[in-house]
Amino acid sequence: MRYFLLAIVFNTLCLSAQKSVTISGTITDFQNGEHLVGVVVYDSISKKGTITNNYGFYSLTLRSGSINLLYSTLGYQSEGLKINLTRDTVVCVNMKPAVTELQEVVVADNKRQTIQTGVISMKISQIQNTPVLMGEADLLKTIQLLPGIKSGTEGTSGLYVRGGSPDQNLIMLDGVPIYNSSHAFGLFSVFNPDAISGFSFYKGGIPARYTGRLSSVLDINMKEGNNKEITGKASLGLIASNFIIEGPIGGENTSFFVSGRRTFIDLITKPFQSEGAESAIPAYFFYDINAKINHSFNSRNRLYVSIYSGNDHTGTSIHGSSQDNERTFDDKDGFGWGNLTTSVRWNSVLTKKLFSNITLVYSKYRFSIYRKNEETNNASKEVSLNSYNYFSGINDIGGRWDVDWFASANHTIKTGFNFTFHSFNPGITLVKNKGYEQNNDIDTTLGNRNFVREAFIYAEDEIKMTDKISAYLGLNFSVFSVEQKNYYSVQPRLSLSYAVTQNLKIKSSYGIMSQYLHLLTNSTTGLPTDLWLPVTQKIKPQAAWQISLGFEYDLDNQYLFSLEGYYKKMKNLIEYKEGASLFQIKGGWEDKVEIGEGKSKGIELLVQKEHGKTTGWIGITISKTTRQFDNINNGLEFPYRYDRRLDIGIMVMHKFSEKASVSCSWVFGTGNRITLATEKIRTSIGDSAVFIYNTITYVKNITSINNFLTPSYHRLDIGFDFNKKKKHWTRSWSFGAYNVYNRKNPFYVYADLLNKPPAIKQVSLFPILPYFKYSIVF
Amino acid sequence: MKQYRVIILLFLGILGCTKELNVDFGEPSKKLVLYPILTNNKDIIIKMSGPAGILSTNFPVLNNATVIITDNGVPVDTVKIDLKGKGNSKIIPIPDHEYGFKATATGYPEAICAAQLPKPVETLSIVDTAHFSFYNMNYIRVRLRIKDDPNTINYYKVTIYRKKFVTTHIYRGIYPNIISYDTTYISIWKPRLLANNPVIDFFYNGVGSFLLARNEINFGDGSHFTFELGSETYFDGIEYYFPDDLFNGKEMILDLIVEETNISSFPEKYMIELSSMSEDYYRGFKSYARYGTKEQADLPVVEEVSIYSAVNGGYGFPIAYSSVIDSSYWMQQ
Repeated sequence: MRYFLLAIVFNTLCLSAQKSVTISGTITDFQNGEHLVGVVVYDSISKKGTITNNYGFYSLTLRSGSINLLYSTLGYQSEGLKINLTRDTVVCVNMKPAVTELQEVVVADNKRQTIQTGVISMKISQIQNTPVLMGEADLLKTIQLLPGIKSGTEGTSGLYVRGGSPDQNLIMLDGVPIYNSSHAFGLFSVFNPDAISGFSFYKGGIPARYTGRLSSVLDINMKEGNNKEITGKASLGLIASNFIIEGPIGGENTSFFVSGRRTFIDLITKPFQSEGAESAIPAYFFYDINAKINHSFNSRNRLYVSIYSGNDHTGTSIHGSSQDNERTFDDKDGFGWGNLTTSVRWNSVLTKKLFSNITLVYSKYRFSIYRKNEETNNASKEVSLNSYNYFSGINDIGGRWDVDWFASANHTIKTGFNFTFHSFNPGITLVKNKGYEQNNDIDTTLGNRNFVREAFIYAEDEIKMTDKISAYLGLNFSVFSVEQKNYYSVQPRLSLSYAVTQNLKIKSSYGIMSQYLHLLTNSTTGLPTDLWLPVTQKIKPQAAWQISLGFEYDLDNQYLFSLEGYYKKMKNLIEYKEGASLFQIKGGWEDKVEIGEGKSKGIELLVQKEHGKTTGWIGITISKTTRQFDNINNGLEFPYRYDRRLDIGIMVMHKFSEKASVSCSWVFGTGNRITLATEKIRTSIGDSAVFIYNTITYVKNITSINNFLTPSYHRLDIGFDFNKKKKHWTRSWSFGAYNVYNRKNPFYVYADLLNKPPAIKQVSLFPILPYFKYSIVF
Repeated sequence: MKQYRVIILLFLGILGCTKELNVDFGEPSKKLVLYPILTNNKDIIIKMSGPAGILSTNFPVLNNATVIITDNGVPVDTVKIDLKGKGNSKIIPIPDHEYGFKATATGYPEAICAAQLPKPVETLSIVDTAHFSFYNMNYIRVRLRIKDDPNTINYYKVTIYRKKFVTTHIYRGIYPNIISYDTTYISIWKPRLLANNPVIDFFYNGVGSFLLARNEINFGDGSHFTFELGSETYFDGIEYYFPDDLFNGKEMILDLIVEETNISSFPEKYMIELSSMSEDYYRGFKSYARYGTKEQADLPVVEEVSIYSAVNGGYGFPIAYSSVIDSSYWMQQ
């Protein structure tokens, strides 16, 4: 109780005994003042409880009289409050982070209170300590270790959730959708773990307040900024360096947070980029900047402004002169992509039971290719210029209003509406030519621009029906207006939870999801050339329904066992027509795609240990996922590319002391499905086919799409962390290795028929890769 | 700083490695591969074979391979397939007759397909030819008129050939006096296709690519013609392939423009061949074309392509097309 602060108590009504009274307030971190999400507030006498919302606010209505409240969440010391509650009371709590593992006694965390199936949350420290490629801690890669979530190809950060594709995941940073969540062609995600305070991941019972994607929701909260003191962190890794600085501005009411990350591969390779050489090595870099400022006007009103900007760029730049020195040339070409997001949020405690949040968002994703060749005649100073620019992307501007109504201890109602204006640029090409003699300057713009509107309203109610039975009822109604056509969707979301015993729960969820955006992609590598496109008159919205049933068993409050089964059906999925090539991205996309259906079913087992010196989890997934398209595979059902029947992810972290820890992860997956011809047939397409096809004597014959299972994938990663407190800061060394036993995992497999003898060949990407990182925290 | 250098070198040393896999695909499927070829005014030709294992270097030889041909359900011929997999029938196909093909060979189940020979295109005429220069380049334009029958589904293929000029002949001033040409026509590489006063046009869009009609051809209505159906034109460097819905019963004027880098002062003969193709042939050709695109791709991550099949119990498809040819002479003025 030493760190428990009863911050504000004020009277509103004098109520007689046994009347309903409300205790409400906000819960913050004692050290930095950040609001804590998902803290369980539980009265052990009435056995009623609630959870803090995304802004740390809670409200619990109880009978007046003695209460014994317990505030608990992962990573913090639990706090208790015993009072005689006679009137409406505001209690704001500062919770102290658990210094030792023994202090972290969580009798009921929010995970155990969730009604829905398929909800995942974990400590950010677990993400920061998970050993990953090149030592760059990565939220998405850590999530990939959990059951029901598969990675794509080696090293990539795309999520394939319960048979879905990466575009079916709604990824939001401070309420703003992120359209491209990867750097370096998918090797790293755009989310800098140092800038994240927490996240929620839904793969089963998706709440009604989220819509627009079929398979999952990842809602990430950026740190608010320390309002107690200036703190920071700087680190240098193998490929990138990071910094964070945060602190109060003129008192505790205002705080800021700024973080940055940049790779320095381009600086390392700079000596190899000799100017004037035809074979200059392209320079590559990416960066992220996160910034947030929040201001509390009073105890009821708070404003947040957050910005994220991240970009990748690669290109070459060549300067030189002709051999006779008559002309100089300046050639540049390259491409880049990136996100810019901004959100402004206004929190307001309207009444002791009513919490409002108004959000305005702006999101921009852009991909561009450029080429510029400039040649100058040194004598006449005449300049010839050829330039080519290609842009594609998506801009969103919108807003939403969410209201949380803590109606009673048995009802928590959330409602709100959202509107978004999308502007799609499937491809704009600008060409400029300026010649010596003709001096003609052509500026051509090709491509269609789509402006579409999306809106939805929702309502949801968490109902505690009895001590053992809880229900979640949600409904989302959305409308999407495109090309003078309106699409409507009614999406019910239902969940039921039954506590068989204090430790054993049965849960079930059902939901309908709808998605108005398509990601046109024809590769497995998460290339930025993938295009986000809206539904059209011809291409209808994607839709899915999912049902899941799960059991949860809490063993001594130390281990949480979760077993879930699900069945999901999807329709109006799109795929490129057969033979689509990697960079075939020109207009008329509707004519290049096929429309079909998908099914997925599976069983997921998760065993978690989140307390004590040794923490971690074991996740096992057994699943089957198929697709069916009328014009692919002769209309027959075929396995999905990532139809891995067995996936295992194990993550273990052990803390020897405050100074040293080790973590290791092991993943196993049965191989991916690829299409590999098993036979060849002679050709004959007529004498009039005069070009190359009469020179082809045979073609590879495919008996079925995705007929070949690549060899199994498995990998062990290990990382060590050593911390030491110095006079002014704490320094940290992180060492580790990716793919410790140097497994040659398949990146792709192909039939090489050109070389003799013909053979099936596998290409592997990453051998054993050591990493290190040096950080200082002040 | 030593450890930094070591780690950086390790990082730079990341390379993909390749290894061979021992994969047992088993025996190839026991299915006949059947390609009956039906063209106007020519005998029916049949090509037949069997699949081979993907890593095999030899194709199986078919024994006792025969094909029974029916005309509107009545057997009219039995064709024996030779060891090279080819058989000739004496039947000359008639448009709109339904021809059936039942193939058998020892050790294989029978394979069946059917085809109709499309009618030749009603109207094909070369309107004129012209020569013009642009940026010091010479071009020859061959303008032709095509009328699509609205009542039938027609898939088209357009090819332009030039009679190969024999330099040893004696030129006498006007083309009827020409002594000789080479005996073969050569097809022209990269003809540029325009349609009725286009706003946007392309010389070509890369060999082996499908040109979507959208944004690329204007049919004279004052705005870009937009196809709501899956219309796409295939251009393989020499020929254009059109689906039915591209023309959709219209009478079209098409300009084929040829870049002429070596203008001679002698007359040239140009031939335009317009073929109406059966749907199976068009779909089969498209799958071959997509296959070709895929095989030419730089990276193996391109989607694989299934070759179209219209043979029940086997592979392959009937190739049925009717051609009409018009020709024109052109000489430098």
